[in-house]
Amino acid sequence: MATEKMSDPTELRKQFIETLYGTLEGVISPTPYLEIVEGDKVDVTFLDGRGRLPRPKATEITVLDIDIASLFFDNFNILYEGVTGVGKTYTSDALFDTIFGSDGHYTVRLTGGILGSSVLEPFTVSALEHGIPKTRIDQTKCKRYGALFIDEINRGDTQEVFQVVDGVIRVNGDTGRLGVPIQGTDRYKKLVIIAAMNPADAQHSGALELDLAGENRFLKFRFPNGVGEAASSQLDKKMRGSLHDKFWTEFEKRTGISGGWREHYPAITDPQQFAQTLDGQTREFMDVALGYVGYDPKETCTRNAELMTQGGVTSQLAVRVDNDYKKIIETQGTLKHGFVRRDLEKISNTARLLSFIKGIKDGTYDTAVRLNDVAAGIGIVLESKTVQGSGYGALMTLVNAARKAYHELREGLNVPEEYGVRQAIAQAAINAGTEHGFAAYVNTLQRSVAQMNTPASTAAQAAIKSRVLADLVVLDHFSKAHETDVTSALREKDGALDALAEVYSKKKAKGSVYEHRLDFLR
Amino acid sequence: MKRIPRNLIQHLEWKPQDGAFPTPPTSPAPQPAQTLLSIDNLINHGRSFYNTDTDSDGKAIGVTQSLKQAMEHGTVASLPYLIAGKAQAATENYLWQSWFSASEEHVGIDKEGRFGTAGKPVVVVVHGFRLLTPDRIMQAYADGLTPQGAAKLTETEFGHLLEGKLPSDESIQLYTVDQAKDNLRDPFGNYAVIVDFELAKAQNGYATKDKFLKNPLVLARSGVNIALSTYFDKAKNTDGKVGNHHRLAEIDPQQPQGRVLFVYDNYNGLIGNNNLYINGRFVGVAPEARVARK
Repeated sequence: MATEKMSDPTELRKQFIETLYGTLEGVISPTPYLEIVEGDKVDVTFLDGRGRLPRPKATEITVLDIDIASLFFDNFNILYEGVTGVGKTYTSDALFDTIFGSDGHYTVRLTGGILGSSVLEPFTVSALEHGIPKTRIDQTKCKRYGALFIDEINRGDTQEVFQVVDGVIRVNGDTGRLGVPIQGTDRYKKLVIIAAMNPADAQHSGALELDLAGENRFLKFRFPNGVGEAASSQLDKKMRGSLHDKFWTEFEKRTGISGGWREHYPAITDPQQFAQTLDGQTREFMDVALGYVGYDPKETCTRNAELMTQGGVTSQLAVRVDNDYKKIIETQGTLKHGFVRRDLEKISNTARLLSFIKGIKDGTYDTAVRLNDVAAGIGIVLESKTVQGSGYGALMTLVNAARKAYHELREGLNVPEEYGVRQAIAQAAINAGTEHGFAAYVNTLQRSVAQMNTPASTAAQAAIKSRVLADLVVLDHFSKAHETDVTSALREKDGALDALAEVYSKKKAKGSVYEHRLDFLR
Repeated sequence: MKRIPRNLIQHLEWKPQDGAFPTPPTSPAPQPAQTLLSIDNLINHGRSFYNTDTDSDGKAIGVTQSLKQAMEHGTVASLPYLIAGKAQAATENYLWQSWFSASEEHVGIDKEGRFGTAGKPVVVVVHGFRLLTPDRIMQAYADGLTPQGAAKLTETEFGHLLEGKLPSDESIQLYTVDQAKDNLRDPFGNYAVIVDFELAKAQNGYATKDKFLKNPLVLARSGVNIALSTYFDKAKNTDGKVGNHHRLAEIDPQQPQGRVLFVYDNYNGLIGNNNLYINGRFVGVAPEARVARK
């Protein structure tokens, strides 16, 4: 047993997670979901329950990994879509039991209809008032649970589901805030929600598609069916005794910290402990890749060429209408909805989740989000938006092509790791400008544009390069439009970078395109 | 925006010695005041390096020493830069008090037809970066000059020049006169302008303003300078003419060759007919004087 109480948040987080895995080892059979292979090229493969032999630079991510990691994020929830009997409820139940005990979490199965169950049920109480039954919020219950499992979420009252997911419920004029206080702060640890639904296909005719607003509130994963793979090894995986007691006893032994989950879990899983900002390279990849994987690359090139023309540059980039192009469009045709603003957030969140898991897997507990995490995030979010029955993993092929094209672009310009191409060129321009003046600043931008503005051999290259080029042309335009301010900023020498960001901040409202395209200056 | 260590992205920076680059225009054609080498600095801080050294035979080789001294001092003023300076400077300024050595001019065969018909001779005026470095001129002396007093270049040297490559491994952008009119970003920087040999040869000597300003060799030598008209007005003689001199009618273009250009302090204008055995007077602009537009 630890003799002193552990206090380092990272170490506590590590011990908490290691203890969880240790406790659940004999309880949950791993269901492989995704494999990320990294190196010069990233390869992300949906495993669909079928694990691969471990290989160098490969990280296998299971459903349990996703569940555990999700405890540490308050701004999104997990939604599993999968057929009955594959273990959606079992896995979450075992995890929640382990941390919160049987009283600390709640499972609600929504059945729909006027008399159906309500997702508000765990937080309300019904009583007779003047002889009339009335539902009231129970403030104690609102703070009682650490986690909620919502089964068949697509059958519930959408507005009620949204309230619970958003953490504030309203019933008959009362308001209740869901979550557990974080000791020593005035903040709350958000209620962890894992939801599940059957696929809305012919075999599950009673199921409905969750509407767009509903899906946008979750990170949706297709729950793989690993039963065939795990076979008889699953038979021995059962919940034995009190996982909860076993877990917290072991945690105390490792850390010297005693007490219940209410005291320690909220602080240990508080996301404010670890920063997860996306570096310039990673943010840029999100910007440029979506124009290829989420939209018609030909339209992307046309739009970017329009902007370049407005800036006085004729784009040399075009997408050929050939079989490859047709295949891209066919693959994108499986998307149910176009990309919406919230998808960007979902990609970012998925990437954070994956980086968190990778940190656990490699033992570093490093939470920095990297390019490959975002690549995988885009693929997962795209897959979550596809029509059921469509080719599984086809969109990931597009993401990998985008990743390759982006890598080539960076390599061609020798852009250092962690930084975006636009960011590097803008800063090189600033450096040139501080030394030789505004003309050198502009010349740096324009020479980079000239270097990159050459015909592309693939649709991915064309779409990705066109976005970078168009944004640099917009920067060139912005700089000339505000030449006096930019020149003053360049005179700041060491402070030129911040001064230019300030100019951008003040002047970006002059055109929406500035705000959309030059965010990398912030 | 997170700061990137400069050494990691220095290769992306444009520097004055990089010269112009081929790009469709993204803005109105630059005015001289917008260039990195300001005319004010040339007028007020430029320094001329006159040298009259001779070799053991008593032949003038000052052009090499003058060039070396100007290069050590800073940026060597090209012919377009000097013309722009003379256009702006008062006649009392040093720029009008003497002649100066400046850019260089080469002749050879465009074997691959990069800029016209294959096998035809072309004139290439190089501003900024140099093929005729002091050492290369000394080598030319040792090799023996052409009968018209130019440095003999090798086929390889001239071929590389047409490809935009210099012996120093630096690259240089080549423009036709029309391309330079449209695309030249830094008229005082490093670049080359190429002219059809026959066209360049057609006019020699003194010309009226109209002819002078349209002369393709003048345009190549001056970097399609927008100050050319003002320069002409200041330099012209009482007949309203300024000179543009060459020996193209006398030379054998099959022998690749190069010479240094000069600008005179009067109506003699642009000189491309001097022997390479000559005194030199290059102008250097010190780095600290290189400032951007104010």
